Amino acid sequence: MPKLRVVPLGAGQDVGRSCILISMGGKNIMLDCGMHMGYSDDRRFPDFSYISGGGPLNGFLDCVIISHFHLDHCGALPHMSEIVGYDGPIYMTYPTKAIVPVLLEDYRKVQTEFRGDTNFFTSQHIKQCMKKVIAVNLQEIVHVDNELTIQAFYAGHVLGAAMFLVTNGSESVLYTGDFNMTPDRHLGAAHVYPGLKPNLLITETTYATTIRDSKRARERDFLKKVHETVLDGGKVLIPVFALGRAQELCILLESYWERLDLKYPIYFSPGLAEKATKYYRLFINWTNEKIKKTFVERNMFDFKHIKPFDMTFADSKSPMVLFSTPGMLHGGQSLRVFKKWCTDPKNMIIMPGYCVAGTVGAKVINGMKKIEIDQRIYEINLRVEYMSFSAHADAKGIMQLIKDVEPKNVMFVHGEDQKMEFLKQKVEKESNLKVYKPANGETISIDTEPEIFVDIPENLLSKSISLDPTPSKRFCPFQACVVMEKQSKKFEIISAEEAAQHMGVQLHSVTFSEIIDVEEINWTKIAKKLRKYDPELQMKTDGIDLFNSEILLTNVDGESRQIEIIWDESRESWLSLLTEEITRKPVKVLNI
Amino acid sequence: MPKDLKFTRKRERSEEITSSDSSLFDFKNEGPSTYQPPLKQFKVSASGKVHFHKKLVEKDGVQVLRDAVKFSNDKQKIKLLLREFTTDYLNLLNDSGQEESVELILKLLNTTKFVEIAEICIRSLYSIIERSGIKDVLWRKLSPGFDENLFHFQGALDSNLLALFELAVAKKIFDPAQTNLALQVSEKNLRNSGPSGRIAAIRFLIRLTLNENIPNLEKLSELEQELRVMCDDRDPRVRTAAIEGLELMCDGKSCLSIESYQRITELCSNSDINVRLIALRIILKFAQHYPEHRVESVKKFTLRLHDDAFTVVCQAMNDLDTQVRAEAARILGCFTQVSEPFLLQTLDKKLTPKMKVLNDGSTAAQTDEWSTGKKLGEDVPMEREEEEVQSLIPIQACGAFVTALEDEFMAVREAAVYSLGKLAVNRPTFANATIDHLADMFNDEIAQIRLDAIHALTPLVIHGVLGQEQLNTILTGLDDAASDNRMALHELLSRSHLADAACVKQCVQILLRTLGRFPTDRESTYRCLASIGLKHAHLVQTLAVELLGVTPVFDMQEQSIEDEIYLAKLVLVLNAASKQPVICSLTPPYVKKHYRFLRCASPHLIPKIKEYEQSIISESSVGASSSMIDLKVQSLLDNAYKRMVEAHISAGISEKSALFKLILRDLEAYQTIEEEIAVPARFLHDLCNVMNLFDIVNTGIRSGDEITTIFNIIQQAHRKIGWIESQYHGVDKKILAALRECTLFLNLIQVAILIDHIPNGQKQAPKFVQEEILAVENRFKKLDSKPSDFTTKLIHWLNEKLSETVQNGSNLEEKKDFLSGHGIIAQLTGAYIPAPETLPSLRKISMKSVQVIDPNKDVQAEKIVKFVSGLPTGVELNCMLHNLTAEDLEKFRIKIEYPDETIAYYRPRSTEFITLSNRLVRVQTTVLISAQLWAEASEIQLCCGVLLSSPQGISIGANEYTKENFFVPLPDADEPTQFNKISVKIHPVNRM
Repeated sequence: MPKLRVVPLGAGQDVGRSCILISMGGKNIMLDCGMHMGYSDDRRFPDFSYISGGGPLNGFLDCVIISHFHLDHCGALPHMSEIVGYDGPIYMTYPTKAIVPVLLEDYRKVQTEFRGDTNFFTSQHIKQCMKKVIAVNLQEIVHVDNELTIQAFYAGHVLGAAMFLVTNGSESVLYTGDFNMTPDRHLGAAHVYPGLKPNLLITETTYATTIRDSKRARERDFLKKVHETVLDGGKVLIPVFALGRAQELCILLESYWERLDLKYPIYFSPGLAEKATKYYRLFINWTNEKIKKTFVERNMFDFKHIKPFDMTFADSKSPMVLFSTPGMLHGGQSLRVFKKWCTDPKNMIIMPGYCVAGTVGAKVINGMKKIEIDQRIYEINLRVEYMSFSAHADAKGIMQLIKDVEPKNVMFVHGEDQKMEFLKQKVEKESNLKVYKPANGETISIDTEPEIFVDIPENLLSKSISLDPTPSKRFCPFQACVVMEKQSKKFEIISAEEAAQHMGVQLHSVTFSEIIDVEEINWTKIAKKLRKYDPELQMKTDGIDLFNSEILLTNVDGESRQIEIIWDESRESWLSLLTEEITRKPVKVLNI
Repeated sequence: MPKDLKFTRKRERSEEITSSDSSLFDFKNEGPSTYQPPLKQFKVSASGKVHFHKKLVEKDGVQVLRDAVKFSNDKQKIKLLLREFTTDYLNLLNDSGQEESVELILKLLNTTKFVEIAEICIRSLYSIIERSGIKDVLWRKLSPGFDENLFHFQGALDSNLLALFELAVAKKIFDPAQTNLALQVSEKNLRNSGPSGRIAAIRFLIRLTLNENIPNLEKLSELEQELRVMCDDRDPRVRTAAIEGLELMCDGKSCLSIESYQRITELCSNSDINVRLIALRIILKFAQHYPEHRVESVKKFTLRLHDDAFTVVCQAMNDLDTQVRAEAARILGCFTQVSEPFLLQTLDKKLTPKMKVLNDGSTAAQTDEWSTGKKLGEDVPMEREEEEVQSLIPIQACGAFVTALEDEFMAVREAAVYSLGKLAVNRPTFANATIDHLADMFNDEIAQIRLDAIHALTPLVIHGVLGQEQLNTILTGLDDAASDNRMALHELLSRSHLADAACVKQCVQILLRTLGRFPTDRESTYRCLASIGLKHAHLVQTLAVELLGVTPVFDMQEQSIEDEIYLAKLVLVLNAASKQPVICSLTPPYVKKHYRFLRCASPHLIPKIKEYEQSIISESSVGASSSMIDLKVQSLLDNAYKRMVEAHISAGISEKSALFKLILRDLEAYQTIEEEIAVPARFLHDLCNVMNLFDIVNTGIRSGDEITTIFNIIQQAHRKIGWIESQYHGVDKKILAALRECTLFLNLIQVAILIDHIPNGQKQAPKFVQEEILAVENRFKKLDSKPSDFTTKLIHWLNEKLSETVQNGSNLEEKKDFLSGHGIIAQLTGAYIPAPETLPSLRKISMKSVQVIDPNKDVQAEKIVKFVSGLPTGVELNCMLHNLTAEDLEKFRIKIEYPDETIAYYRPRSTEFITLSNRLVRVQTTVLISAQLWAEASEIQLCCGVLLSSPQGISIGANEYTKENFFVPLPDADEPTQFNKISVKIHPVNRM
């Protein structure tokens, strides 16, 4: 039995540093190559020595696929390709390819210039790494080599996010990356072709135990809270990541401000975010129906009310709304502003998404009243609101995707163990599938069925099709002999008769017979009923010959109300159908 | 000119083919590469003119076929000829040609050895019969030809043949004797041939069974069984054909048998989109036909069929295809009898307690295993529940409407909004839960959906009572920048029932606030406040003092009536006061004055308040009650009308003009009075003018005036008639009929003059007269009334003359007196406009008018539209149209007058008209303007109106009759005596 092996180097029962290795039919593929936000030592990157034992990865990997530009999915890429060493192809979508270097550069700056990390990849590394990237289009089937193909599907989540179907011969794996089944203000919902039926679906499970209520209600809630706070003269801090939710919330607030004609200032961290918004403006065909339709008149990403932020504004007394990076309050401007604003009860912080445990953000959400930041204790008096604007699918979305994709096995990554367990039980009960949730470094292997392609003679094929009595022709019994030629080792299919002739033996046929009761025997009538199954049936005086004598109907001696059916073994499945047809009484019609 | 004729006919035919539904038998797919058009046989003669090749003129379709039969063995040749026949001649055959062709094709069919040829033959037969007017004759010729010997092609022709049979059955020319043969063929194909054979067999069977006049129940049931099996076919096209048949079977009142239900529910998740779409529609039929039947659901529970079907459609909300989702969302709205728990489940993505069943059959307690994602840390998984809980429906079916309202595509959201509204109309609990969801749609990014949501909410609000919470959500929509949404919301609020005084107060506050923000909403806000006041008089009572700022101690300073905010409050309070007279005693004394002013200025906003009216009477010496005044006004108008009609009919020529002058002067005076009188007076004025002009024309003809003068007067009269027809709403049919007769007379006079005075006039006259008669008759049919005796006689006379012309045909020159100018004039002696004696509906006449909201007159004065000369630019135009009918909207145009006296008409797109109520339409459009370079800014005039074409008006071109379009500007709604006019300053600049 061929086996499909999967081992997560990161994101196994965990969120962060997504990196999953799959090995199928002798090909090794790395899905995502991310960093972990919770660590600043070596654990922040996946353990690549697992693959090669410490040396370069060339020869061990056939290709690398990056699902989207979030750092926990691509942050380790230059490290892997330039420091560890990998020269093979790296695949990602066009928007991802455009945005990834910007984010990596930003990440590098933070690490080396602010944290003083010296053992880190350089700008040159990022450039060289990006040269190895091959961009793909949605739904385009890319041939990595003769057997291995990949295909990207729209995943929602963030601009350019994609799910990847990796196919090698007859085996296939669908990796979702991060995806979102609920369309939002700027992106559509994840979308796959129906009935992909891969051997394995690797899906993220960030929100495994959540079923969100209406997105609209959430939006209303958010807008109301922001509006109330600024009305009372407070300031609103919304820590976001530069790309993704930031744009979504900006569009939401922008259109609300415009609708209500509010004058309170909205600020956005300058620099990266501004740059990022440019990409959103550029890749407009990746966004949703409305934005695509109206961008000719006005590009939704040209914000009217939202202006770049300057740190001096933070001390102003007047109310304002600030989108600040990064999203988990683990440093940067967000943290600086938070320190200034956290003591005033009039202010509010809205955490719009997930926070990794250990970050200041997570502490804030957990309701801690005193938090130590940089060796100083801060009193937390401002209102804290948590709102899941995260663009991940919820449990219902995950189950819907499983239903749409129809995989043979499911594997959970990118989530917390406990929650995965909960969803695992649900899925196994609902859809009868085997669900895996390996920890980092734990290998799972899935048996796949080997496939061999052999040409079948047309007469055998049509014979086989005709043997199935249902119009769906779903279960066509197939009888033939497989012959392997000694020299070329090629298979050939021949019919049983031919094989018998080759071997000089006689074929035996097995026939069965059964006697059924009928109300009367009228061969003409019966023939009329059966003609639609076999237009060439032959009517004899004492019976009917169907399917070239494979089924015979005949009199039973001395019995006027019985018919004997004699059938060849291959026609077994026709029996019930024919009996029903022969014995069926005229339909009674009820007048309703 | 046979040449031209041939050309045009050919072109027509090719259009027809492309537009006809593409059945199996369209010839447009006949590869054009090998097709040799007969055009190649054109030959240029010595004179340089193009002639048809002689051969082609003689040749016809039948000849081509004859040739084909001759070459019975040359496959290529026959193919070529048949193709020529089908592409060039098939459509031009006359009856006998068709008969002959059918015979020839049949001959060919019987002799040919080639399947390909036989196929083309049968397809040609199909096309001939489909287009023929003598289908039955052809079929009789054809049918004996079909016998066993046709089948020596071993079934290769079956699908074509079955389609031919299907056509015959559909057209009811099928011979019952052939049924057996046809059935044999179809049965043979049903299971054992390729997809096209199976499809043809299915279609034939469906047609055969359903086309019977008295449906044979037994056969129907058999067909249903057969189709049910075929819905399983391996080919999606066959499945589609089968399920289409099933859908046909449950058309109208009948429905499929209950046994098929399970099968159809399975088909809702078929891999083919069409199958899914149709299956969903059939499911709805089941639900409507057997609502109370018990069925076993997917989860093995016994449910009402209606509920189960509802669940199935809910599940389709997760379909991968947008089309299916949109259809499902639409269908959901038709499940009117679904039980409450199922309905409420559509608003929650998690299972509601009532949908969970414990092992003992009771419903679950109020626990929830899923988190909502609103709080962090909340999503720690719960302890596993002790008892095994079964859900009544699959989790995918939960929250169907929530999913639909979140959908990426507008089509789905739009359908969902309407369905939600429809389902909630008669269910108070559900309606309450729905309001939040619909109100959330006010936040949708697409304006149309926001508007739809408001419309969907409107009927719900009428039934229920709006509480503070819901009002909060709904009122956010008032801040919307799109004025349509605000207007719709005003409409909604004015129909709603508010729970308590606090709600009314909040409502009023927000309305007043938005009034400040959007001054254009003034009228609509006032109307909204007026009806809130009327509906909630008792609640307003408690608020009145506060709203008007009355203090118990001090005398109040009179508030300015110019103040919009005060005015708005006053509208509310006065409306409430009309129901609750107590309020009058609370108001400061100056309110009474303001009431009187408002009552005159805008009576539609302010109802009568008895308390105030009484005091007016006692104070003033004008003792007449208002009904007396009404009577007086009525008699005044009636009088004027009577005088007018009398003058027109009976007065002598000399007196007439003097009389009319007097009447016109009176009517002009009336027009300066208030609107109620001014509009009818204005109408009478126009009518009087028409009569006057008509009389002038009549006298003019007899006294031999200049032709051009007469023509000018006729033109004037036409114009006036056009104005009457398109400017007034609610005009009596009789008047319209009379005016149409007047038009006829005028036109005939013109014709008469033309015949006598213009060379060639006589030739064209009959055609024109004929058209004219036709137009008059049509118009009367439309008005549903009969012409006067005089006109009936006139038309009769004209018809007689016309038929004489036809008989005499070409030698028109010799019989000059058949339709002569003086003849017509003589006939017209004594013609008058047969206006009815009295006009009871006179007071109901109102103006069709335009209210320009944008460009605003005050703002526009300073704004200059700058653009590059020669290129178009747009001016935003937003106006309300009062009393315009759909017909008027068709003809609605915006006239653009440039300073260089060029005039352009702009027609708004049909989607830019939004019907607000049955007499109020809003048009919001961008008028395209363009101009050449000007040195400095200058003004252009825009004017809304109706562009009329015939039947009014013919003028003389060089030597021809031409019909002229003319533009009728519509009056301004604020000042009905003026036409609407917008001036825009534009400045085209040089392109850089």
